[in-house]
Amino acid sequence: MDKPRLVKQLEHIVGKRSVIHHPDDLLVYEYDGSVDRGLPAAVVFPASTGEVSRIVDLAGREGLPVIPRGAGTGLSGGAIACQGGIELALTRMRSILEIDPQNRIAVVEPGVVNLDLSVAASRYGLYFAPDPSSQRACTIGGNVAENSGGPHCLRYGVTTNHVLSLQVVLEDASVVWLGDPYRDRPGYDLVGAFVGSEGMMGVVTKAVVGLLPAPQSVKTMLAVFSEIEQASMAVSAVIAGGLIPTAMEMMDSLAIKAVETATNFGYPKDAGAVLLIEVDGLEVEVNEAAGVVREICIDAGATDVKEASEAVERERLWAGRKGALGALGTLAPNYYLVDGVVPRSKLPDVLRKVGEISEEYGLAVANVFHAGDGNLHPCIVFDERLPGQTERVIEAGGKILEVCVDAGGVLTGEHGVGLEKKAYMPLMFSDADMDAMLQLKETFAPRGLFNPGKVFPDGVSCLDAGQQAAVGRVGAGAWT
Amino acid sequence: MTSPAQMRGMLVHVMDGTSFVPDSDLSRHAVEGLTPKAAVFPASEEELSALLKEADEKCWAVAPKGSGNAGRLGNLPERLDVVVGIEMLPHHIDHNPGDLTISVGAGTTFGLLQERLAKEGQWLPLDPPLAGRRTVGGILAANLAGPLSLSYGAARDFVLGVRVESAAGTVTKSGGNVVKNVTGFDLPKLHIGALGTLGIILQATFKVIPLPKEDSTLAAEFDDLGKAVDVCQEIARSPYTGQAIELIRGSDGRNRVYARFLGSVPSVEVRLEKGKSLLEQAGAKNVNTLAQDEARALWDAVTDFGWNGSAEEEVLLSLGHLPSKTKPVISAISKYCAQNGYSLEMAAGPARGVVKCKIVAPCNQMRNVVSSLRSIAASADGYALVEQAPLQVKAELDVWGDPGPALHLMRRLKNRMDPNRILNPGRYVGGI
Repeated sequence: MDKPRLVKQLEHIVGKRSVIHHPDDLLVYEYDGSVDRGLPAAVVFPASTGEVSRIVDLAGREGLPVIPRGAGTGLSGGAIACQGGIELALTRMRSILEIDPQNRIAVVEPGVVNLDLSVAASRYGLYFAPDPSSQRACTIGGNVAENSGGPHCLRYGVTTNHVLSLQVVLEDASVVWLGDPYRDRPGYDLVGAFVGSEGMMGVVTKAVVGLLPAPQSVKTMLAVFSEIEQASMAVSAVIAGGLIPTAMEMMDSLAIKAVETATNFGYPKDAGAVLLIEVDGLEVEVNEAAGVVREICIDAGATDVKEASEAVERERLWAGRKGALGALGTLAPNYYLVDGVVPRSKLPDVLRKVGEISEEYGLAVANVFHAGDGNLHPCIVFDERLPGQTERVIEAGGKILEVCVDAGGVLTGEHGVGLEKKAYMPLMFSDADMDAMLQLKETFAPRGLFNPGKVFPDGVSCLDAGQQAAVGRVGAGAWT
Repeated sequence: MTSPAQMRGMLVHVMDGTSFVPDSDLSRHAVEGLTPKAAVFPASEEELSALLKEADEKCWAVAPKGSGNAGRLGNLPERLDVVVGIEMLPHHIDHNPGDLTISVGAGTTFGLLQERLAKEGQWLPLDPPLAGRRTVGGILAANLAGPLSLSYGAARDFVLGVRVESAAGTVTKSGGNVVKNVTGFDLPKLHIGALGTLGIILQATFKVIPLPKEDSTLAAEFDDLGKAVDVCQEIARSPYTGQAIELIRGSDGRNRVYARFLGSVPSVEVRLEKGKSLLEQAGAKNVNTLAQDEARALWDAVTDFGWNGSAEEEVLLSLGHLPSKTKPVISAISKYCAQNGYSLEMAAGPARGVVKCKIVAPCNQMRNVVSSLRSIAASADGYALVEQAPLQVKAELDVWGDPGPALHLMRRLKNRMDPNRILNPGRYVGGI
């Protein structure tokens, strides 16, 4: 079908104002939070499950790829139309259909913004636990597709632990509910299999999610160390002490320098590392845990431990952490963000190796990451205008991922494989392992209509997979 | 028809002779009254692979077996050729206390797993029926949840990765060994609760947590069943909730509420106090804290409810629904049993939305019992699973009930992963 006819048919389904097709307008939808690119033929904004189904039906008849898209904050190129086709933007489907405080569940459309759900649920003393740093923008549908995490998933789990049931549109345009609002109905855990499938198995049109009660008390602590090893030791010691804080985040000296240069958050500029630790629960639990954490940090060599209980003060302690990636702009115009995970006990070792790679390549690396669950975020800062730099950065990033996998870790903790890391999948998985994943994908989407070219290494990609990865322009995708 | 001797002859070139169960013992490995033609305990993954390749080629029906304690879960087998025990497979345990993870061979007993964890002050907070003596593989395959799932979640929330032997005899791994991972699709979820119909789990890696310093249980009695349900939900909704809150209605008609509080000493202390006052305000009689031995025995009895050998005329059903529906479900079940003169015992997690009931009725009326409870479940938008029933009753029904609107996807999945239907054919939902 030629493009004008396609546009006409899409307009027939959703109305003229809900289709974008002019080349200039499409440019915005060429990107997501990574800087992979791919120009779709059109972007369409359905308002209902029925409209999604009709669009999928049309695309299926025409053999056009369908790329589901939320807020476009993804960091692995998951929402890029790398083979053209129709971008299915779900941001108009943004109703919170129901909040059921008695059963602590909510029924939402996929375009609901993550934080908006927690705000709406707060009226009942409840909240939605997954909290990716992009939570002011990212959507629940996107969270489901990527199985998003966030700083607080150390204690409360990632998206999959909070999704109960999904209404999805399949490749044949049929609409089906997976799972139930309660967990245990007999049958294969199709919801569990669907969450994290990166938009390749179907389009989520409704989600039933679990909500948690807001804790009675929360305490945030900021511990300052002169050496990063001391901070790593403190992380291990907290866990060994039988505590699982709600969050345990680390920043190294370069990251601290960057945030303090950008804005003064009150982190000591000469610190080797800071740890942000949060505990929540009953007041008596929080006071006890905070005491233990403080003691452990001081034993590990912390020079200062700040503590805050009030929301405003806690926000202040978090501000430097949340603004860290944006602040990298004070160091260099570009960064490349790696998302590997290693066993917690390997953190000091792996961080040392990351440092060696940084030296070997002559590239500065700032570390801002979820230390509690071993989820590293080494940010290689550089200037893409220097010839050959981007290639070196991507090579160094690949080396870091190899180090993570060698240490018993994985390629990605929360950003997804997408386009960015698909070339690295063989580091972790054999052909047989990938075939098993393919069996699942083909159960849902045998034709491969949804989000083609992602996750699987031999898929067709926009560019040579090894050469293109999520190289961020500072400020463009400052989420992690 | 292949005879046991013939089957053995065909298998002996792929398996070591010592892995076979002698023909005279085959009946001990019968599944729901059906005796297999061979029962083997492979000692290595290679042996298991070779066996499955052979079985897949010849379309033999294979029943994977853990400890056998939950062997009665599921529909009657459509056919049965080979029982494959996993208990002789390597039992390596790799515990990394600092990472809060443990990897174990699927044939390891859950009891041994917990013992190893406890040495380092950690545990896996799952409490399915008969847990201690069952294998890790069997527990994952059956995926029966216990009272602790109220606060800790279920097996799916703790499994980080699995290695699985496919129906075609290929070993694959999915997930990973770290606590956070989105690399590739989440295949481990598919095998949890699949009753071995998509592959045989060889090894699993779990996220574990620190053992609580304190573990106390409150017990109380209620004359009024409705009030007992209400107070369970009230405790669960308060910030001072317990980690397990169960309601037991004995055959004597007495209603007992048990609330278990796990955590640090000061935390448990304050929650016990609050729990006590909530129970008393609700009109409970005899509110008391159980002694440790007493509490342990009690929770074993609650988790094993209905699983410790059942009588000929007994059916064990598990109903699931939203927590807000627990009260009408419990009252409908009680009314139905009273009207029909059936003896009824219940173990319910009102805040979990689970009601287990053990009903004694003549065998020829049991199908009616099941269908009546299914309509009660349906009116609460829930399900009713028959966990235990006499063979002749099971022969006439699908124990799983309605698997919901996505059954066609489940069938498609099975068809891709086990196209020759060799793994536990007929035993799973919708006759999968």
